[in-house]
Amino acid sequence: MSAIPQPADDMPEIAPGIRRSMEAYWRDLPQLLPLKSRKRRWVAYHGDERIAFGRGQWELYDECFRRGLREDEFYVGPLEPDENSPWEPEEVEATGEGPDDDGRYEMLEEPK
Amino acid sequence: MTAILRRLPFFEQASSVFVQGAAARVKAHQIVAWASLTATNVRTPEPGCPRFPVIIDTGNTQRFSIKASHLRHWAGTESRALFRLGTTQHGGTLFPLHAARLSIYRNQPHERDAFMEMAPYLLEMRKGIVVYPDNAPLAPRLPLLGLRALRENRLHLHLDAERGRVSLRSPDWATWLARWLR
Repeated sequence: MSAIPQPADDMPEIAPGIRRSMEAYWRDLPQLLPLKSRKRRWVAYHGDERIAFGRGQWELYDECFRRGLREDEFYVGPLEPDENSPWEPEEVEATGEGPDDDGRYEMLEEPK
Repeated sequence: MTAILRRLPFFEQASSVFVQGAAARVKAHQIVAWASLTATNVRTPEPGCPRFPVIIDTGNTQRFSIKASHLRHWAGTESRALFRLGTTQHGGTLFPLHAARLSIYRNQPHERDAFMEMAPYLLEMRKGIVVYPDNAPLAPRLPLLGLRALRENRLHLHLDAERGRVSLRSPDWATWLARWLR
């Protein structure tokens, strides 16, 4: 049996407005997937309201800001199938390092 | 086609990069690009936006990983300024994913630390970036750009290991045509 994953220190909550919008996105995603096209790769939700489709993630963020929404009130998600809902953990493998070539590998100077 | 990295060199020996007045060590065979990170409500990095090194690591399945002190000192922001979008599980620990815009600077061909006079390339970050507490044993020594980000941005990475050069670009019409003809 695998151990239950433990949260890191100071894990913030997902803002309620983002979470509500994520849930609406996840609920609607199966119906939205057939609508995917070059111009409809992303979708933005504000709570239950679908704000817009767009080509890119950041153009939809900009559209939400243009409409006066705050960052904690909306969610922008891709029109891509996904096994996990946005709020479920993604499991990853992370490497990034090889051997220390000469025994030194920490930063030469820590930032002040 | 948008070229992002052009014949970017990596080296057989360890080297140093200078970030915010300090030197950071790059190990042999690590591929380093330069990036800026901003909150989602900042449309494009301003000219004075801090630039920091990232390791391109195709063995890493995250999008982008950074430890909190590098986010603060190198990227000039704090994780609490970036809204949480989700969670990632790494080695039995859950870490938050934060919304942020990450831009990659276009290098001058054959140069690692010199840049084109062009706007950096803004990457999409579907579920956000992971910020590791400094005391997390799994925190990356240097920021990492993982394979998930390359895949989700549909980028083409070309590695010439013989010459120690890397190119990164977005696909163009010729890419689609060649794929269609195959």
